[in-house]
Amino acid sequence: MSGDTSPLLRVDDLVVDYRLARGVRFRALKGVSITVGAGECVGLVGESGSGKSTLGRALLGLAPVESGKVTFDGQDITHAKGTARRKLANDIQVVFQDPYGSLDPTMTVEEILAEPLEVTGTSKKQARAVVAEMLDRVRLPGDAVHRYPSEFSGGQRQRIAIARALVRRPRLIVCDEPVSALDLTTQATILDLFIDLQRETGVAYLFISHDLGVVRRVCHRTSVMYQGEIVESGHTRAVTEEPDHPYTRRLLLAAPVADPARQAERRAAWLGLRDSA
Amino acid sequence: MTAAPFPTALAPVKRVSLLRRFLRRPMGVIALFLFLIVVFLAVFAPLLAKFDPNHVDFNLVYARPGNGHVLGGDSAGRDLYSRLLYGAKTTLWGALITCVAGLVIGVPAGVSAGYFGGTLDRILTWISDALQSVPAMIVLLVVAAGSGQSFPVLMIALGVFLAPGYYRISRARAMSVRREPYIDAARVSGMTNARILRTHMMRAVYPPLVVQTALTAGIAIGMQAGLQFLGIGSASTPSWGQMMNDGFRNILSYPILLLWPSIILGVTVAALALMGSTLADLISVRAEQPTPRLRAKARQWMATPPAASDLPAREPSGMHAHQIENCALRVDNLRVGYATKAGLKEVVRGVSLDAAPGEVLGIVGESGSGKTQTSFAVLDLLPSGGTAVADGIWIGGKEVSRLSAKDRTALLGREIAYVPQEPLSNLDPCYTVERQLVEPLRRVHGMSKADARKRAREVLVRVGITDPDRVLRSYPHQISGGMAQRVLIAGAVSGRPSLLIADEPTTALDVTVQAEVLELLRELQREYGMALMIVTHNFGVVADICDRVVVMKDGRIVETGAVERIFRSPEDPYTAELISASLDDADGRHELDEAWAANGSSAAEGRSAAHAAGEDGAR
Amino acid sequence: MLSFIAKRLLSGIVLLLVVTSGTFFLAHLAIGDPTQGLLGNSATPAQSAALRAKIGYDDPLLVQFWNWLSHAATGDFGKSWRSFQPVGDTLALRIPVTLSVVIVALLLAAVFGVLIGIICGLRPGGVLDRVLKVASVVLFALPGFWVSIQLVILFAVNLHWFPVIGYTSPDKDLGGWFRSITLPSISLALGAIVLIAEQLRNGFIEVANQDFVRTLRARGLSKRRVTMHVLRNASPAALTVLALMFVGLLGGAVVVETVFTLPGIGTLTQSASQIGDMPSLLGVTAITVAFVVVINFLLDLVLGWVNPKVRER
Repeated sequence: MSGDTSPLLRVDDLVVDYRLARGVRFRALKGVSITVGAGECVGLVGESGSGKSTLGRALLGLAPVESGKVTFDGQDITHAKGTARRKLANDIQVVFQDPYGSLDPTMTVEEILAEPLEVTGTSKKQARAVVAEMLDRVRLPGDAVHRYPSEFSGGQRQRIAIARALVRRPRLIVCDEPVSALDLTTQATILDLFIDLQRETGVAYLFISHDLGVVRRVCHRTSVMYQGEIVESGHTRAVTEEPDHPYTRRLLLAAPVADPARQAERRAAWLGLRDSA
Repeated sequence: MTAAPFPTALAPVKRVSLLRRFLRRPMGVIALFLFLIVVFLAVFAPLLAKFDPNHVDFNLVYARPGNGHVLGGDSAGRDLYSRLLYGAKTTLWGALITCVAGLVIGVPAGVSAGYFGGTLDRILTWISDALQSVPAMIVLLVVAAGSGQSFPVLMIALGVFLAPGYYRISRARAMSVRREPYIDAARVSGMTNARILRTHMMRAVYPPLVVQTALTAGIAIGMQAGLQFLGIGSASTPSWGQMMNDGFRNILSYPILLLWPSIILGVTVAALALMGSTLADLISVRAEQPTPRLRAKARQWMATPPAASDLPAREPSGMHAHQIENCALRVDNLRVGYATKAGLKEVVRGVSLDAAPGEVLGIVGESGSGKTQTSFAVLDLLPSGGTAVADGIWIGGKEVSRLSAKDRTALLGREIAYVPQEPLSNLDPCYTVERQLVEPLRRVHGMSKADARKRAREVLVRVGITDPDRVLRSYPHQISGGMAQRVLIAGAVSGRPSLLIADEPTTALDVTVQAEVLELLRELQREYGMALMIVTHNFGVVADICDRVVVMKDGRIVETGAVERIFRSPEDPYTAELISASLDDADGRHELDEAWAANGSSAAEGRSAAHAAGEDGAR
Repeated sequence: MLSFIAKRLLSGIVLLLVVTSGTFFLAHLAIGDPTQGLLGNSATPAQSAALRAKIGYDDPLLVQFWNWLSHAATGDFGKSWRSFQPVGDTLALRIPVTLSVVIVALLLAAVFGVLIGIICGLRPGGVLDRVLKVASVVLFALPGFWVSIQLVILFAVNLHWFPVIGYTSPDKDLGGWFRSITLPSISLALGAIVLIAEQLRNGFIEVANQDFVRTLRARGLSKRRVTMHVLRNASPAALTVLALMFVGLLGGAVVVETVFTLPGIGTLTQSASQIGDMPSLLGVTAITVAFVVVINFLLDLVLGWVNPKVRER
């Protein structure tokens, strides 16, 4: 831990531009600032095009940063490239949304999980031990190692993806909509797995989701993004129950609750908000 | 501690190697066998052929078989059999050079172009396109004219012209794989580009390259023979093309000279091509199209299951709430099955439900529950290979399950309408919105062009589109997802249906748009007095819009009931599990951490929560 | 749209330049001193020198290329090193022969390819579909001259339906012309037919399984109307193949013309390459690539018309 005063990850005024055809630029992030403490889970909520995934990709070096600063553990990693970026793999990992595309279909589970270790020159034997440990951590049976991703269900694949993120024992995992492609019951168990793993390993999450309910379940603090900007941040309970910003309120009221009577109230409130706007 | 349940042991899987699957295809086996014979002949030509292929014996000119000359002699008095075998050697050697040249040039270029993209991709693709626009034969003749008739040089040149085939395939594969999240994940785990290219990319490109090499070898052999037929190549190197030339010049007097080279060339080329296509079949990810025979079998099985079948009990599940004559929709014991090579797969196994006019019926379940298949069966729009059987389907009080396909189609757009899940993929990308809205109004409802256009515009305004004229002129890729869903709803209700079937109509939309679309569906349903059958996995949507709910699991209905009752006191444990899985009333992280801390977790482990509390001031 | 056209035209001109200059330097490198090939082995050094001077071979390479290029730009392809006839005149005589064979083959390929493709696409897994699958693989791979020879044996030698070899000019005898190009066209077309059919079939099935087709059917549109939608969406791939086929057929014509001894640009190329007649070779290359550029340009226009997304690029 880097101490309670300076956060593990600090993003200051980050701007990301995507180049579209013929010199046209699209500003995906318009000066975003956020912090993630060690062992903390910070949620990033927004709708499609809000820039929430872009922020995650920028931290991982997968999006072009125009200006601003990303600090990890006191070290400026905004433009880390080559060896410096590869060294960061020890500390920052990722879990993506798509449980089908995020695993190489031609590799066995063991190859997939051992790959990040082989890069660092870990011996085969050591790698195998770590792989077995991680499979156990994500509650997959040990005989999964010789199977291919296509032989697993969506939820099981997401467990494998989480295990891959964990093998290097990182301090931060960027979770980009990790449960939105899953069935409801599977979603609940995977969310609980995320929480358990955080308690067991002390890893921090930047948890990107479009679903306020999901964020409320796993995140300590939450930021709401709208059109490339953070419109509201704070303690998750405050943001998801008594939001300040009109957009957050609209977002909250638009999500239907699984209770007919309360949903009728919520809908009435939403209609009122819509018509007054 | 909220332990995730340990998944039950993994189901056993059967994996069959590519070679074994290849050997199961008769066409592939025959092709491989023939090709191996040719390879055998070529490799052992010096042992199998007794005569020097270039030795001229005047007694052998146009000779018939005999005297140890198995096939006789050619126009110059050379042993045909020897020339055929040595020709095989030349042919395969040439094809090998060509394929290697094509691979070495095309694959690295294609993979890097696809992986890195940008300027490199544009330049390489331009070169590849340019190579493909040059008639190769003409340039090869130029090369042949000057290369001192050097065979390897000519074959390498041929490889250059076939390299674009390799280039295109490896580029296309690399491009699609590059977008896969697992490549991003590999980068995040600290892999260098070189390593990603070597491992993930090569693994992805490898299978189509095997196919392409079989096809390229066939084409290379054909073009090689064509060049030799034109007289290119040294006279002392026996070749099939030369032999065909010899035969062709004597076609009227000694057509037999054409026979053997024709056969061996044709067989070799065809065998390579068939091997390639069999391999392509085996590695293709494209779902196999059910053959007419399989479809017929599915229909037969659905009607009368085979005696040995171990299909579970077929009594209906679910219940009816209304009298038949009061129903906008009534389904009685519906079953839907697909024939696969492994047998019949039943995805809906006896479902009964109904909906009155003006009622909103929700069908809720997880993926694989059969909810979407049920709605397709009601529409009679099952994907090919699917068959539906029911004791009865009533639409608007009329029994329709025995009607012909044509009469069922006649109900669509008038009685029943359909709103799909993915807005953008459900509009034809080649036509404007206007054309897509107007066409059914004219063809199905017989309106004039002007009337149809007027109606389309009105409906667009009704579904909340503020600039209908611009939207009418637009192509689907020019409008947003929410807008496209409104267009689809407009298309569905423009025919004033009495039953609207909406399949996950809001799942692909953002939450704020979802609320708008639900509100719109509710308004339209009330305004037109339609029955609305809404398929969803989201209990929030159910609570928002439905009057009654049907809960499905594994192709059967586990519970039917009024929406308040289902939420208040679900009878089936599965329903209860689904409702509790929605996170609305679940504890948030704050409560979870408090409970965990209270359960006596160590102070050290509680740090994360403490840290979060410390950061609270950030707000 | 206008910039799209300008871009494609520019790209075509660059392609023409690159290919002709490539051929020029490649041929120079490959052929070396052409006089031996032109005059035969018995020529004296003096004769060779005279010929070299006459054809301008002693000029520096770049000067020769510039001379050729600047004239070619005005449509003057120089004179043959062998016959000293203007290459342009020879091409004008021979191109119609090749083009008539290629165009008839393309028409055959388009009509039958589309027909078979649609039938197979509508009934995947049917008998015709399975036959097409094997036929397309084999017929595409078999070289054109091989197919020609089998056709000649069957229809010309055994059945006497068509002349074995030779070409009849259409202004002399239209029926004779048609008979003289039928077999060459068919032997070129066979591979193209199955390839186009296969492309269209695959495209057709892919589109037919897309979501919007179900939605169109749910609106009550008849099967025929829905098929039209599917066809329009499936056509770009088949059209692209058709354009690529044009290049393939031009190349294939070289060999097929030799089989049937048609006086087209194929036989011209062959004889010119054997004796090292550079102006003729360059003329043929330039003109064929020009045809290819035009065809690709037309393809782009048609694709833009079929697919609205392409138009905006």
